[in-house]
Amino acid sequence: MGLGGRRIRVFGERFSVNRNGGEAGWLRAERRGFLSAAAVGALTGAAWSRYAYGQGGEEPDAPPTPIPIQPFQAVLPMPSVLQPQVSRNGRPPFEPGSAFHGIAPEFADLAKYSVFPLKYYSIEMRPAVHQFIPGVKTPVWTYNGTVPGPTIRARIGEPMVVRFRNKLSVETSIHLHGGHLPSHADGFPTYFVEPGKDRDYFYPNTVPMHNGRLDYSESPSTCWYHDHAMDIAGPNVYFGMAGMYLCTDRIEENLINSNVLPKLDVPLVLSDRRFNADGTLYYDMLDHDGAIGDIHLVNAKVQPKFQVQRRKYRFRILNGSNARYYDLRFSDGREFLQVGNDAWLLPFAMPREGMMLSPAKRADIIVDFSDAPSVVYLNNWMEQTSGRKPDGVAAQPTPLLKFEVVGNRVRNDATVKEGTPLRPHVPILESEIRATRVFDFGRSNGSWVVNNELYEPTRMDAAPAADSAERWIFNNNSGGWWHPIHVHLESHQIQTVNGQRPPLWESFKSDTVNLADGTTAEVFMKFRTFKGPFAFHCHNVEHEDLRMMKNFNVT
Amino acid sequence: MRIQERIKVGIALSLAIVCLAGAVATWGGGSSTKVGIGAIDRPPSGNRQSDRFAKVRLIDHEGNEVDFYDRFVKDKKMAVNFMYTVCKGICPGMTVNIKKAREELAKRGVTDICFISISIEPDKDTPERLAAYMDANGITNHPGISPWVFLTGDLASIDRLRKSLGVFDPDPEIDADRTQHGGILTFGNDQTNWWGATPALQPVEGIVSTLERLMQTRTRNFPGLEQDTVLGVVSQ
Repeated sequence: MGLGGRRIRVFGERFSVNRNGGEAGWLRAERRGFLSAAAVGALTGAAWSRYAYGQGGEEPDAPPTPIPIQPFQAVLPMPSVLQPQVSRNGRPPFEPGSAFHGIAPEFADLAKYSVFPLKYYSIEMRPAVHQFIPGVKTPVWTYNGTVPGPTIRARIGEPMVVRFRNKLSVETSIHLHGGHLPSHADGFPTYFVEPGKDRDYFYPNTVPMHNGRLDYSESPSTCWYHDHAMDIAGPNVYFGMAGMYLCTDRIEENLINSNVLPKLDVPLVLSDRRFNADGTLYYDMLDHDGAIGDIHLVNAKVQPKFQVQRRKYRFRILNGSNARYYDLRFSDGREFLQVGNDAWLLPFAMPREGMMLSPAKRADIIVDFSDAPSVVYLNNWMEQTSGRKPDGVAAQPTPLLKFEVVGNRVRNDATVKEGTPLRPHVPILESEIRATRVFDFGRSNGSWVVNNELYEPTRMDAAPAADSAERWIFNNNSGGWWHPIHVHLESHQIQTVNGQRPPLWESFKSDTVNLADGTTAEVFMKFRTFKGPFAFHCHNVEHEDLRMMKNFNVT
Repeated sequence: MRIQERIKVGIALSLAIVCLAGAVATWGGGSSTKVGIGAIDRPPSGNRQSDRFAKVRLIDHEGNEVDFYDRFVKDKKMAVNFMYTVCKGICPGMTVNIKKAREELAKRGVTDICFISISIEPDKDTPERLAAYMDANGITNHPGISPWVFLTGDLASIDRLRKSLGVFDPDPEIDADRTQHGGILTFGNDQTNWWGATPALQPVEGIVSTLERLMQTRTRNFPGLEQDTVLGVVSQ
């Protein structure tokens, strides 16, 4: 099978799909041990060596977790799905906007977003005890008492209000990563939920307009929500505050109901942590390179096992680590289909053998276990010992998740295959671009800076006109660090990475673009529906905390 | 509300009060109870950040030898930056910002954060020179404002301390280049074990609000606390 060397047309767009070395060489990136095209450049350009960290040995390395780990004992946990609160006697469970911090002013336009009744949810941010390692009780900070937080399932056209109550001792601010929503509900760094207070987050679950019509090509699928509070998003996320937000719409439902996409839909939140001997989390609040753990977790459980049938599964993989990069492959080298990049379904399913995920990136993939051996591992081939950047390809992979394949081949399995159309794509054209902005992500006197400026929450650094398209150029000239750049509010369309076309799966919509050392990425973006302020920043969360962030306001 | 529910609520309320009292006692007592697994003020991480700090003896601007950890860290609140007196780069701006932040915090009633400036050119920055620098910048210590101490000492000790505070560049060349030295204010509250760093060259209001928030100088109301102690226990 394969599309080797052909040019195909998908939704009127032409793409070169050459499995033996395409124009941008994206194909060679598929070989085991290689990363995205961006990373390949860095790999060849820079010698992979352990940098001299704290020359003279004064800066102590983080101590290894002293708790013995027995992998593949625990069963992969499934985060519970958040249930809406029901109205009683025709009265809503709570009055939207009556929370201490109120609700987005856009809530007044509720009728604009839907004819469906509003859904009400409630999430409490509170301390809890979680067993990352079976038998080891670890204090954490949570959404509703669980790590990861409960999965929110949303549908385009069905707005919701989530009342977040803060029962922690620090300010929080909840960002819906991949969402298209009002600034008040976007987790702007200083739009806090203060300790003891609450805020009504209005999620309109809408799509932007294109030429006067709703643009369903922008319907998100795989989003996540996590803390974004000024200065402390790093520790807050590390302590447990992250969860999946899975959105759907009629296009995606049709794909599932017509048995194109599998109904078996499993979120896999990858993350790393480090522990102290007493089972508490180890976190170095003064490591500004980014937290790197030595214990690998899937859905907040150490290297779990998961029983699967001989059929296709849909996995929503999230890199939920603060600073770790993953290079994921299956132990038997099996090919899989990527159907989504970041929040959005791709225009068509494309085959992959491996993939690099930078922090905050998501990959929506289909794995067919029908001909699999009885045991398959999901392996991470990326070596990383510091938050600064990955060290390169590991000599031995780390198995993150063990699949135990059981039973006979299931009949009438989902039909998705290479090239299956999934969701239309509306490319932003060069002719639509109204402005170009350049942002240099760098380092100055021990702080992270963008365009040599420190982040200020009250300063707007860009004011794109509403409904216009712009070219944003991101440069990483920080001297040795990697920075995954995340832009709020809208998807961006990566045009070039270091002058080359990006790999195919990153040629459509993304919300996070990785900047390897010395990388320049050019993206096209539109700014629609909501006014700001919105942030864009490095998603190595410790870098973000030390101000590698900027604001834009749609005007 | 049915009677059983009322009883449940009553029990929950009294538990909450007991827990709150316990939390206040632990926090207010200033004892060196195990960090991270005690009062709710603390992050859930169990490692005491200050355990990583290099234990060094330095000399203050009055010429006294001081044990850095005992004098400035243990169970205290502090904010430290690195500078040198003849710096023509970022130091003057840092000093002015810290001075303004310290004054603004005093106006808001915060007088218990010890500000510390440590010379990275200690062979030239004698205690006398540091005292003169303070005079020239109008920095005085008096009741009603947080103390501010300038420190010198031997370069190796200062470098060890600086790196253990996370203020360094992994590139040895940049790290050794004084013109590129760290412009961040590293702060923490050893009682709550909450530490962090913030750029010293940002607008003063940013420094003030970050210090206020994260060093928990404001009295806060925490309704609805369900647990005050959560033990991290290995029971394998």
